[in-house]
Amino acid sequence: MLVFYIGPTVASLVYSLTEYPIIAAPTWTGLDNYREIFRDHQFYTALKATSIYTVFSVLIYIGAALGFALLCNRRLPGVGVVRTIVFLPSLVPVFALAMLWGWLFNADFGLVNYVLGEVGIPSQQWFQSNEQALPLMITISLWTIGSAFVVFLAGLQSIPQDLYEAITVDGAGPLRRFWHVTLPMLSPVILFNLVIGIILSFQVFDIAWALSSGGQRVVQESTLFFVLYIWRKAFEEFEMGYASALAWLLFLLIIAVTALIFRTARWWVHYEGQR
Amino acid sequence: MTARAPSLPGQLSQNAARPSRFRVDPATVLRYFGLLLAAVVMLLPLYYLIYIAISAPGQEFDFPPGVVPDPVQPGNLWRALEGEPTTPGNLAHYFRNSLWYAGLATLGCLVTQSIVGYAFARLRFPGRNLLFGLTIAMLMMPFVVTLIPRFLFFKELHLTDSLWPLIIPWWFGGSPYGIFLMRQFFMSIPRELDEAARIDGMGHWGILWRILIPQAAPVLVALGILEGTYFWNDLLGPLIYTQSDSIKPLSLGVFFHGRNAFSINYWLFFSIIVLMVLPIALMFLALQRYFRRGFLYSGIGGR
Repeated sequence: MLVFYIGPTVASLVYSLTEYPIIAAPTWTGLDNYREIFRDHQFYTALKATSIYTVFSVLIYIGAALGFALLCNRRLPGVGVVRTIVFLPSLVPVFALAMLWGWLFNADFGLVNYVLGEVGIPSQQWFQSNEQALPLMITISLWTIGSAFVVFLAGLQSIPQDLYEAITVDGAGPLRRFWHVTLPMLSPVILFNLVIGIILSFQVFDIAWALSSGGQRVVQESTLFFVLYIWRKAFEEFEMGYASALAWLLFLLIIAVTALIFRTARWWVHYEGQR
Repeated sequence: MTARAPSLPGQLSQNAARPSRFRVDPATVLRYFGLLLAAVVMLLPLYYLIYIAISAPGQEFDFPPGVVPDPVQPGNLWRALEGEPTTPGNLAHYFRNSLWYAGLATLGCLVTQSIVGYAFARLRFPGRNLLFGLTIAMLMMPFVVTLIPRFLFFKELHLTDSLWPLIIPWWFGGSPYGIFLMRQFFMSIPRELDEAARIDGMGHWGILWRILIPQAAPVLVALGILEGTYFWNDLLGPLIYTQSDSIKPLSLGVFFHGRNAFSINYWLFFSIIVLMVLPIALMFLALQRYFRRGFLYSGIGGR
């Protein structure tokens, strides 16, 4: 732990204060890297792309996973198969899904443009268009909700059945049961998934990398994600100091957002243990 | 069927808890419709993955694409495994590298997470709470923060361009997530169990390996699947540490294998992906039962 987490974390903070082209020793430059970052328009591009991606993909991550889990949380014949199917795409590497969507949404020979053409809608550029690439990448994240789905299922199954019986006796319909029993009892699990989802989305990398370097296309401005930008700075331009500073800014950003979520948690998270 | 007005699902699902046999309950029908929709949506990409993988080469550019490939060529998978004339060698060494990487890294995680989790759950030592707090803080840290110093560290040791930088860190405590999960699980096992073992003369190692680990099997399986899949599919790690083709794992090898000079060889690319997902999917199906129980017992459920 100490060697591979805390050590590097401190080291990275130190590097972030230096100019470090990998071939030469680092030279101390103080806060210059940070000053430069705030003047770097690509930094704002990356920040914007990552923020938009995070907001919407987390909505999908929580919403779809919870929806699917509610749907599958009933003993019905066949439900087990559907549970497996919902989890299955999460075993496929994200970059492979990205390449697959790249094929389906290919501007020249993709299936989607063909279907659109049949109903008279002109071909779209999809991933090659600055406006459409980001929404598509957000949509792809629907197929990676497996772990949130499993955690929600486990959470749903640990809600005591007698709570439902009690509120049903009081004459509550399914909507009220969901609102007054399921949601409050599930709120700690929602918090868990929310935090994990945010942390993961901020670090999105594979999708954009596979669709740019792996494929033959250039990355669109709108999908220059933060980690992708750090990777380029560090391992293509070899500016280790600058990249470390970027990484630390991302770390601070994630801490700030998570802290904010935990701050709001007391208003909406219900812990059965403490009353 | 008598044409009953399709009432709101809400009004009927009260009775849905005890549906009498042989009566079609609209709420159940609606639920099945939803389940079917979910299954179709989630299967769609997998379907096309396999579709392209077993289409005749070149057909992936046919316009329009069909619903079923014609002709079906499952032999593609075998061809991908053996290697095409346009690509470097066959896939065997990528598979071998992936197995080493995912296997050793997962093993390291499971072993050391158990030990650290045990220490946090059962031992009293100065600074324990501080260290545990740091572990939780590390959960939030993006991997890119440690990425660069780790890279420079291994470069100093002349270990870059090998798989070791991807394996060694996991033998030093595994991931914070795994430590957290193991600690939570060990906390939920009554202490009387290890006290009884201690009276029988067992030390910490005996208690951990013979008493607690056997109980933790479902959690270990769940963690093993999650972490194993992560390593198997990991792209960024190998991208940074492996330069020569002979040590690249499958995740990265796919790109160099599936791409010839001008464009992507889609059938080849997706054939390899199918080969790559297959072992993971089979393992998941075989261990599914433990996997879900692991999550139920691990304590992230109810708390």
